[in-house]
Amino acid sequence: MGFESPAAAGSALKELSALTARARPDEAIGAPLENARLRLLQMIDRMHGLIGEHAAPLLDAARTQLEQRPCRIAVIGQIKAGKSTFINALAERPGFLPADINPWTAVVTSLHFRASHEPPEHAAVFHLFSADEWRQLAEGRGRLRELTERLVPGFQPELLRAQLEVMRRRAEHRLGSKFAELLGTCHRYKSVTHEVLAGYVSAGDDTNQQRIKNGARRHYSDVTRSADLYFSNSPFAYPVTLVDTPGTNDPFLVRDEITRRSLENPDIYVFVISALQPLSTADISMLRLLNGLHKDRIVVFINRADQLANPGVDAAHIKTAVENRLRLEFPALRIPVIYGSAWMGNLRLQADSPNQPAAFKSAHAAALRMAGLPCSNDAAAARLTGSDRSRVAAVMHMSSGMREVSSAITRMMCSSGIAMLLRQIALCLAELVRSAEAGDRVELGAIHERIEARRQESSALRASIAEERQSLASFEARATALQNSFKDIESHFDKLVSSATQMLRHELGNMVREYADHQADSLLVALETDRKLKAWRCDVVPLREQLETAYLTAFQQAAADLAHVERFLYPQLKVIVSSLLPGYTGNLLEVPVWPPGLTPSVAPLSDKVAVDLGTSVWQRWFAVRKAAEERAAQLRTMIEDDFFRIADELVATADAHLKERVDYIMQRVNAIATGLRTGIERRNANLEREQTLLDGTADRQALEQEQKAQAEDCVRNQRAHAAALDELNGVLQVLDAAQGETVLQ
Amino acid sequence: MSTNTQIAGRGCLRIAVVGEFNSGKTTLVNALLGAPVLPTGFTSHTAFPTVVGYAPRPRLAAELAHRRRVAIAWERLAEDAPPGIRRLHVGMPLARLESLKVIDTPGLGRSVDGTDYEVLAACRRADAVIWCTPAVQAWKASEERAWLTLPESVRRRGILAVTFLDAVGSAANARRVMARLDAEAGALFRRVVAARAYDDMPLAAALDLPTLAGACRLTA
Repeated sequence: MGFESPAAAGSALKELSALTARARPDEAIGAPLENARLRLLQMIDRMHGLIGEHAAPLLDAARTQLEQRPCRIAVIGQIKAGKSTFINALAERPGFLPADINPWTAVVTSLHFRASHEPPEHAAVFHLFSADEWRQLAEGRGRLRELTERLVPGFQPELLRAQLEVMRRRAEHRLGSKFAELLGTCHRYKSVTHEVLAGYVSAGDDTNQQRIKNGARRHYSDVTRSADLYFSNSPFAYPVTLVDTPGTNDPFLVRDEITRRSLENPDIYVFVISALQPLSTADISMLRLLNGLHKDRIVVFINRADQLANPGVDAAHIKTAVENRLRLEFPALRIPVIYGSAWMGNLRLQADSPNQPAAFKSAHAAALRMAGLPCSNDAAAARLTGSDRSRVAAVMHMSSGMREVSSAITRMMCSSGIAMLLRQIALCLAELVRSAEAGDRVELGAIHERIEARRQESSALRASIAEERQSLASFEARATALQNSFKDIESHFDKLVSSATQMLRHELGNMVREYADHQADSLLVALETDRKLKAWRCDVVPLREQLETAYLTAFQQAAADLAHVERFLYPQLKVIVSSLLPGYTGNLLEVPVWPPGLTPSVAPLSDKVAVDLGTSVWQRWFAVRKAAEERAAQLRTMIEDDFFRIADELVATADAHLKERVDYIMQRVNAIATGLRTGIERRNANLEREQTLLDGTADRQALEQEQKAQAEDCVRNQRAHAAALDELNGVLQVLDAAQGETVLQ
Repeated sequence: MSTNTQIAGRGCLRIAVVGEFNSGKTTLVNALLGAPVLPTGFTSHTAFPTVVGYAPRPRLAAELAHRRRVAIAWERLAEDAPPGIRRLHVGMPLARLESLKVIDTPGLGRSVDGTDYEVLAACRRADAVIWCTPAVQAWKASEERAWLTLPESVRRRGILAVTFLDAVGSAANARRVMARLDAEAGALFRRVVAARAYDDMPLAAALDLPTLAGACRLTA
């Protein structure tokens, strides 16, 4: 089989078996979280029967989130880095998205993999730009544009507009007079074929104008905003949406702009770079852009390792170099770097197919070489037996790097917003169960009390009912007051947050102004002493450090203020709730301990600013003749512009974090209020029955039986609640374990 | 020896080979010279501009500050290059070098402070500039931007060489890449050429050096 000698072949195959045996069994992406998600969905079903109607809206909201919030994974990278091929390998659909030698993907394409096995109603939905969006695209408004202009050297809005005009004319040419009517429409297909995809997603060759003109097929790609493709069979455990983006660093800026616009939403980013030109300036700019958007869940995949002259050695070198560079650029981020070959990832999927592509044969050799096994180029693959073939496929799978990518994605998911969501839902459900359980206990006590009273005299019963009614009325009033006070508490929290952020903005702004003034003054002094000054450097590190310290201190202060209010709030709540529900043990009423990981990101501080630029830029700046005052003023503006923006971003981050925390507090508090209401209403209903009985208008025996049944229900419910709590604790443990593993790795 | 190089140097056609890192510049230089003069590979020498010219015996020298030159070995450069090297000078006894000087430049787009600026400055001094773009990821926006920073007088002397064309798979693919580059970048260069099959066809012929030399002399 193409090894240098039979002996070498034998030992290589042995090594190969060892390699494949050592590998852990594959785990589909997001498996631990899917376990938690399914258990929570089951729990919601159970709780609908267990807990009163009051909880229904809460439960439905949780169900919707669990069912409809997939993990969004965006695949990004420069043009022709192999993004589509990578997606095909990850989705285990070789050849699905065509990979072409010229830039192909011009549209943001989402591949939706749902957990349900029901076939979707439509397999493909294409949204065309609305007339408004079409215009907006040309004007390019929004935060992304702003960031782009700052971070991408020489971003040219003028050129963008010109190219958009070209695109518009081409679209009119391709689509004819109907062009304007098409804008804003949406096309649906029951199944996806290559032709359908090509008509909407392919950029098309400009050089093939003639053929397009004569061809029967319409070409919509210029006016397509997004493509959504739905699959019923998922290779992933958790519901996943894969987003294929047009490549960045595309000389056709319109495509570049579309990509940048698709970056705001995803949970995880896979950044595909080419092993042949790893981590160029354009790649770094892209990572800075993500960092600026506070997207720190990034996996870097070094693709095309199969095209290296000596994959086994070179790929490892490149990986180390990329890791070092990333650590230097983004010290705060931990970005896993994986190398491999998406091409090989696709081939291994076709290893068993009878009409396997011819490329598979040379890929055998490439895979073995990448795995560090001796093998000559012209592997006579035809002579491979079936079991050899599957072993080679396994090695290919490993060399492709796709396994590592999958587990890196799973690890990131376990600490992502998805995991946070699952945890919050589990905690919220647990609160509901606990309050319902406490309600049952009180109800049971009340029933027993009245059964006891009834055995004695009717006057005692009347007194007992009156007492219960009175206490209930007062509790109800307190519960209502409590619920009303929640609104006050929330607005109090909001005020607290907004005054904290205002102060922070003021403080950071002053720091920037002071620094800029100081720098401008020193430059002025330097220019006065040396009229021919040709070099100048601002050290912005102290300013960055100053801003960071001030920012973190202020954030911690605001967080402490919130905690202070909480410490005051919860004991009060506890008094009210436990007087209403004696024996309530929910830990809602303990002041929550905020995990230390919740400190906000300081990512904006690592943004590149103008004064960071290299010496050559400064030389050019000094080359232009200017009065000293003008130069100093310019320096001041340069510093202020960049750092005011950074300060604004920091403030916005802090604001979002604090608000998130307030939301969380309110969610917990509202969950318990819901439980209280349920209990009150049930006890009110019971009292009504007692009263009618006492007034002599009801069947005593029936009531007694009903009460007995109710008491039994309560006991049953208590058992069910205990079981539900066990289950929810189990789910939380799964989530903790999954996240713990992430931290360890 | 020194007279020989100086004479050869004076009337020499100076060709600068530029492009982003790992775009096949060194391979192209070797093809241009018809001999493996410069080492290729990932830990490459091209952290410094490398000037290849005529010398009766093979030699390698590092130029330090004040144009001071010291002899040096390739191995030393790879392991621990002495500080302060401004450029490298390679001398080879090749007939082709009697009328030609080739400058291999550090790759653009690595964002090492100041390098890009130096490289583009080297282009201005050359009689002809060959811009290498790898076929698999050809002509990216960053390349276009860098090229457009050069004045038109320099761009008129530019050739876009599409390297690693074998990697695109088929001849049809190669044609499509070339067609796209003609459409997208053709107007920015004197011409766009495919630089593949170094072994079969001397690149000098593919690049049409005599015509180029003539054209450059006319503009000079």
